[in-house]
Amino acid sequence: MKCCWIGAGILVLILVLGLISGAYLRNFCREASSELTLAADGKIPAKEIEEIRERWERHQTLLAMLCDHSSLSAIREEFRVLDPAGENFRETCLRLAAKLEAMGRSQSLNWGNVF
Amino acid sequence: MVEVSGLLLSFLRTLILYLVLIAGMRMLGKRQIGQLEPSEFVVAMLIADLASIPMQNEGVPLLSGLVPLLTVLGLELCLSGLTMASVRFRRILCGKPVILIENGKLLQQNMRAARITLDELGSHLRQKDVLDIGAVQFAILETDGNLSVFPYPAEVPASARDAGIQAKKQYLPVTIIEDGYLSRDNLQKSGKDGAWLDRVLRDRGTTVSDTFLLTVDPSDRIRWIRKGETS
Repeated sequence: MKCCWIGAGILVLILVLGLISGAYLRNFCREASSELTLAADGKIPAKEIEEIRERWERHQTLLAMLCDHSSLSAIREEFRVLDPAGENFRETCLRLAAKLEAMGRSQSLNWGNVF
Repeated sequence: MVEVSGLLLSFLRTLILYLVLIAGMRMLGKRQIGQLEPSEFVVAMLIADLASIPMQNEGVPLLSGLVPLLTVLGLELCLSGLTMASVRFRRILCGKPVILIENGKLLQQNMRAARITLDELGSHLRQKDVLDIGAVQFAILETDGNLSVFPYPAEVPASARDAGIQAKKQYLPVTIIEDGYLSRDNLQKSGKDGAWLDRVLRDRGTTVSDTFLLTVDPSDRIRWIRKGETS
């Protein structure tokens, strides 16, 4: 029975880590997405937009461990061209917000994602 | 962050996954491929595929391969523990052995239930050096797919007991030196000591590092092979 407990322990650990990482990712993406939506409407100062970008950079390693790298690369590219003084700032913010929201949704626990 | 090339990334990922696979298979225990139960066979097939995905595709996080791999290993450990603890569960997961030949009689219903044809049965018997199906008293299809064959006593070569011969005692040899490596545990288990070993090696004009194999059994019979010896 010892190996049964070891196996059960491994499964529980993976389950818990999965739940924690899913919650972390959903919250991160939801927050970033809502902030970018506000930024698109001009309700956030330029300094805070820079903070959003820095927060994204700080969480890069953890996000790379959890998410598909191609979607991360796409978001990274959008952040690179994000310029509060640029012409396409609003469109870029909205695109980024949509991509982050999609990334967060893809990690949520629902039947659609399971199947 | 250190910049690394794609090749090096691939190398590191493969190394990590390989070590996890080895550790996982080690935890599952020693079985040859042909002796796997159904769930073990599934695991063996699955984990190879699961590990290869992040090995080949660097766009996929390593955890995408590790998590399913560890999940499969965890499930297999749970199931193997439950099969050890519960006979009923074992029957459900592994099935029961099926008797195909009983007292020389072919049980056709059991063959149909096990989906074994006469050709397959004949093939299994030939692999067990049995040419004549009439020579078999019992044939049992085990849960791992192997066929256990028990010929009639008259068809089996006579044992020493049958011939009334006093057979020599058989002993299990203990390996003292293997490929130049001295096992002190085994030396102790065999009831010998360093002085004995030195004497044995001196008599043969050799050293530990020059010895390919040295075994001794409880009757003090020594088998010694020098490294590089071809006969």
